[in-house]
Amino acid sequence: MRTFSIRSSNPYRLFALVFLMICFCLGISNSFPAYGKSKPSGKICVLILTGQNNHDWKATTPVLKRILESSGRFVVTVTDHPERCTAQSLKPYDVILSNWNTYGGGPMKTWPAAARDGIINFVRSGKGFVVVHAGSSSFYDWEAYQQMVAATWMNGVTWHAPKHMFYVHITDPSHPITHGMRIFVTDDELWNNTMVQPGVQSLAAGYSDKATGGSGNDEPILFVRSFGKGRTCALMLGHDAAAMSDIGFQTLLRRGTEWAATGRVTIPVPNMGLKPNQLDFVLKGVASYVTGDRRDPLWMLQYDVGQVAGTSQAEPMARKLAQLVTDPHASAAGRQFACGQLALIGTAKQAPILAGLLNDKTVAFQARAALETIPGTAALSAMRKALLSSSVTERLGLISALAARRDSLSIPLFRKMALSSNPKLVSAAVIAIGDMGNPASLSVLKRLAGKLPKAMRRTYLKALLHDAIGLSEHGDYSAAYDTFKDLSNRNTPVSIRSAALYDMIGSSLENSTRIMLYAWKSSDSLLRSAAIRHANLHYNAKLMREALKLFDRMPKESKTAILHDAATHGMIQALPLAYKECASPYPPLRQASVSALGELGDASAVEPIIREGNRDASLKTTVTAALEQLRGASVNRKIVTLLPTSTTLMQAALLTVLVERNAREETPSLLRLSSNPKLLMGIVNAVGRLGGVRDCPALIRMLQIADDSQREVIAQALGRICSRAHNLAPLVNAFNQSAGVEKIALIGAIASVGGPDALPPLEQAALFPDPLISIPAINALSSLNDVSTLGPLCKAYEAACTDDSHALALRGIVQVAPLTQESERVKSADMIANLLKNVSVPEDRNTLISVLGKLPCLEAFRVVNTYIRSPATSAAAERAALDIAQVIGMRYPDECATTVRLLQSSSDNEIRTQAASLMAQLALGPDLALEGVASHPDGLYRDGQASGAQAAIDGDPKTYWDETDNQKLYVLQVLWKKPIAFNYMRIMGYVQDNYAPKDFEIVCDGKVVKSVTNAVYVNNLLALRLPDTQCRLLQLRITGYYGNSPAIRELELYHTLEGGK
Amino acid sequence: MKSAFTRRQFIKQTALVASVAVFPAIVPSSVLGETAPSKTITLGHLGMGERGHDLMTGFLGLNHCRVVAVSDCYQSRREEGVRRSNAQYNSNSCKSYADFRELCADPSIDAVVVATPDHWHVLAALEAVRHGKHVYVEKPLGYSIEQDEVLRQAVHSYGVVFQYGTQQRSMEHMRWTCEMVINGRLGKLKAIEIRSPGNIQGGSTTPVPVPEDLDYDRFLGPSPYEPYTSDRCTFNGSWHISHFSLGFVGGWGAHPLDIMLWGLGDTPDAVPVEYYGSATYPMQGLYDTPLGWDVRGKFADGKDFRFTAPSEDLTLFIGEKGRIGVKRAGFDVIDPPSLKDAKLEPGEKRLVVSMNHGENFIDAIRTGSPTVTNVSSASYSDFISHLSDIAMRSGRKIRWNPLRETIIDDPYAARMMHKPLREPWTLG
Repeated sequence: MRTFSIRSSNPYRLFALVFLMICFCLGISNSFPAYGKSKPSGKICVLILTGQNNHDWKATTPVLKRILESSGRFVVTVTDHPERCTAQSLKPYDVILSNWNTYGGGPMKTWPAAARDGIINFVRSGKGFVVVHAGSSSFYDWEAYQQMVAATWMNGVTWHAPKHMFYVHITDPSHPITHGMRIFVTDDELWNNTMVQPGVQSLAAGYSDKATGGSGNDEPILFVRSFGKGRTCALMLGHDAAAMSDIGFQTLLRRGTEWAATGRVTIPVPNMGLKPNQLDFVLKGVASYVTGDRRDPLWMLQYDVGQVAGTSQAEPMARKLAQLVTDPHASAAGRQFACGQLALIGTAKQAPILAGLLNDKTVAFQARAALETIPGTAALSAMRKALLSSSVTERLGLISALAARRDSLSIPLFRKMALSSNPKLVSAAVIAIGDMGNPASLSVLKRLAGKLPKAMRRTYLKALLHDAIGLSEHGDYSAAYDTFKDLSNRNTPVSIRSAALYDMIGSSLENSTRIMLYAWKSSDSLLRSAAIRHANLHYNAKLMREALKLFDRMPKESKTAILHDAATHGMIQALPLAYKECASPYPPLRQASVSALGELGDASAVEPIIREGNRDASLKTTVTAALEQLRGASVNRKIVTLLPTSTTLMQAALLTVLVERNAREETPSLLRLSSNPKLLMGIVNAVGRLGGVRDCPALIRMLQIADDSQREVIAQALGRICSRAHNLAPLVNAFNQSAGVEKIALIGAIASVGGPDALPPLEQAALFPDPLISIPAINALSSLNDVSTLGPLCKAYEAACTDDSHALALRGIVQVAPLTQESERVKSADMIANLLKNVSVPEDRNTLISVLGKLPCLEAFRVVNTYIRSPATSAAAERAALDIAQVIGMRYPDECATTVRLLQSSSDNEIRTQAASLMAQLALGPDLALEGVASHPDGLYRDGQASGAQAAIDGDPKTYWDETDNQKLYVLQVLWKKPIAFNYMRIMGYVQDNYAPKDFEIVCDGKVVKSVTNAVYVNNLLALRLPDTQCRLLQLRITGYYGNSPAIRELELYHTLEGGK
Repeated sequence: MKSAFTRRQFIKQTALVASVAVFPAIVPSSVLGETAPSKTITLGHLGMGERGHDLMTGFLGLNHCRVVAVSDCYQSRREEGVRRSNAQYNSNSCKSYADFRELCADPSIDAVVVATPDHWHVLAALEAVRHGKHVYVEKPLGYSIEQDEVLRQAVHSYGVVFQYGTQQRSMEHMRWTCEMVINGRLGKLKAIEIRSPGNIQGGSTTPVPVPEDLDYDRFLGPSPYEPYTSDRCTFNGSWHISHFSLGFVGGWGAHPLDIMLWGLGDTPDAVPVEYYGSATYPMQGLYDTPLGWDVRGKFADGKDFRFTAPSEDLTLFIGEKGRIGVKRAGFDVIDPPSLKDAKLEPGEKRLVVSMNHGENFIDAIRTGSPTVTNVSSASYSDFISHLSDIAMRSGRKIRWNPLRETIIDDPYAARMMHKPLREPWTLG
């Protein structure tokens, strides 16, 4: 490129210079500025940061690039100078991958601000960041970087054993990166105690076996987090190029990078089949597996078999599995498991080996099961051969296996065994022949008929039945039919006969209509039942039409079934029959008819349905369902017409139906019927559920002439209507115009609707001089359970003239005041305080003081304080002050401390104790545990409703940490970014002396600070004074516990100057 | 390669009637002769563990039925069952059977309640059905897909009443939800999400002597021999050990899956045709069924399917016009909120009403009304559990043909539809 002198005066040259410089920059960045989107070609642009790393970045970087690009999803650029990145230079990329660090003293120790801000903002703006292995081991004082990278090596905390082969399993099956994966093997460096930022999720863990120098725990190795609008994926695997050759690493890298860049994963999970050396590692694990060991090798084998089945790796896998199964030095459990997997992937080649294991006690069942499962003639012939020479037990298994395979060649062998003297063999053989379902087996069975012992008869007949079923499965309907017919004679046991009749119908093909019609009409109840259930399970419109034509000749049971089926399928031809049969003397037929009328009929069906309901009370449910079904405009009207002349039981049912049918238009006509005293309350109820505001006048008129019991119902109905309409006006108007007992009833109705409109009338009524009105109104105000009634209740108290009204208003205040939201407490406290000034009754004053205790705010605190000194109110005031201080004390420690200190010398023992404890807390200062990050390096899973380790230090006693019962060691660990100083620990268990730590060591940065045995809890709290301790990593190592496991609701740590309790 | 097995089923390909029964299906169902509505139904209980105990409590409190026999592998549990039944009826006539086959052959018993561990469900039910007994079978259904099909065919052939232990169909809010879905209040369905609790880890693996009152070999039944430990034959053992159960993907998942089926009309197409996903498994301890999973798939008509654990139970129907998420404890979401007050209009499809699951079973026997969960529905939800399980174990994409009821294009996965039984137990 020719350079231009900037000092040239030629404007075109200047323009050209600028243009070329732009092209140059674009050239370097290799693309258009992307502004967060992928390139037009659809690929994701990755920028790898490298050039410095305490690992072999020169070898690993090209490998990373190749892994990503070979997926076809990425275009990768590499920079050896991450310090030169700027916001501008990063624009073209979608995701940054760090294979760079400062750890171990590379020359580049910091980045300039432009790079720092550029990279942080890059991710925050919505793009991605990927960490590979030690790619985050940098900048330990740069808070934002630490948060962004999600997880890193922390000196003094993280450690690793030498590189070795280990299992990695997915711990989150839902995340896009891991969905579809299960477990893999890799040869890599596994970190223990990786330092993880709060809020970071881990998706997979490697098992850090102690045998290979590890921690014994499942160590998380894959982390994800959102950062601003972007995402980070930290993959702690990938120590060197060799480790990166494993499909597990590669899959997580590709999918993790795609996820970090876009938030989604489209790269599919590839075939995760193991490499030969990895498979050998796994099989070695399987071969030494005994119950109680970790299952990693078993799960890996199971998954690997699933991955290689149907590929060219299946055959070598099957061979290796066969080797393991025959290995006498392999464990029994291992051989059995491997044989189970061989069943799924084995072929004819393994049949002889498996046959040889049929009398090996350890794997006999599994070997037979495998032969049973492996398709093909080799397995069958191996089983047949073995049948001749095995023990009885093995023969039973082989017989059932060959039968399950429908192996016709076994029939002669079965026949021989059916004639043996061992009843178990005879039975198994007969059953097996019956399973065959072909003409050969049928003829063998028939010829065995006379030769079997009498006790075998049922087994024999069942086998015949099943054989015939098999025949019809194979399409040999006529042979099947004949056999079913033979079995349907009356000497056959009833259950088998019933099945034979049913299956006979099913195999009668072109004759089936004729046979069905015959069967339906038959007097043989089993034959009839068979036809009925066949029709029910195999609806045939043509057949049903025939049946309906011959309906009148059918017995009642068949009529019932046919009518039901026809109605279910909407066959209108059945309707006239339903009309006819609804008066049948046979109850099930009556019932079916009524149902059918409902399904098929219209408004004309209303009358007969109701008629039957009036006649037969047991039909109530059917009648109700039928009426609810009926379609047609005048159905509701007809029901109303028939209401007065129906029985009491039916009247109730009909009203229910009208409500179900939403028959709103009928409320006026219903109300006109209300002169009928039997119907009155039911109608009112129905109108209450159906009606609208226009029905209120009629109800209010009723109210005026109602008696006591009726008034309640009417008021309730009014309340329902007004609730639905969200309109209290009719009730309020009626209330204003009424007097005496109606007013009282209306108060109840208004209260049942509630809402802000209810307040004015209730408030007014509460101030009435007449207690008959004011008392229900006060009760109604309290029942609204809404803090907006506090003011009216206070007024009502002041206006009250009787003891009862005072008491009720006070009770309402007590009920309602504590409902005050935090932001309104001052207002409520003021109301109560003002009321207090005008109250003279001592008990009432104390009550109000207690109410203030339930409004924890500074104002309330100040007010109750003024009542502490006066003997008449001191007890209540002390209690209230303490209650308030317990809530707001930490927020206003200075103001509260004075009073709380005073309360430590109260005459009440409980106040003294609680004040002292509160005092200690006020002196404690903040809970340092809240700043930590908790984990549980004990290899256990959380139990039941527990919420994981962090729950122990989240400040919420409702959540708790708890793990599997009855383990030998539990470890709760808390890690702080900077060391904290504390001398006081408090532990809250699950409940007092049940599920709480009992014997444990407190370990700070690796040193035991205190050993606790037989911990004593008071009110489920254990308080421990400790020597002044500085600590970055705290562990509770728990070996003894109350209950079955040591749950912890809260673990608190303080540095107290005053010395706690 | 074709599957080695042809399944024993004889179902004509003409339409199978769904159980959207509008009215009682009057199907006289007792093979001992038509049952007069006034008859008292005699019950035998197979399995007197936690669930069996609770079921018996329910049946002891019902009219028109009487518990007359119990069977269990623990002698102490048999005795307890006998004692409770005799106390209820003030008699001493309750029979105790160490061998469930004798109970099933007892002609004085009309119906059998199967509350054994999962691996015994179908074998025990088959024995009862083939003796003409009506059966109440606890969920999940079969230990393999093949077992589901065999039992279904037997129930249809022998013509007995079948009730599935999915008692959520006898809960009003579940029925309301499914009626809303079936009647199109959510519009065209786009997706269904199922959630259930996951299994637990733990359990002692230390072999100990078998308790004297336990017939251990009978408890194991068709499952392979394993040494007895203190946690193997408890309710936890029967729920969380893979030799006894698929785990909660069937054992708990059956409940929300069954509600999904009910809302979809109980048809074969309500079984998704594709499954793919992951699961996490315990690494230690006796229990080895999945702790959590996420299986995703599709229905034949393109709807999405997702089944996850661990979680509170949920069946979430997502439609174009709204969503309803229903769980045992109530509702998770009703969207739009106005849907909450919706009621059925005349003429809309109604589902079978049952207010008590056990009573629904007894009524079905006495009067011929339908049970609210029949054996076809039971098999469909169970297929879903099995297919999900195969997908999560193998990492493969599993495809299902609902018409032929088989796994397609995958001989390896198809082998798992059949699970061999330890001798002398067979499905024959």
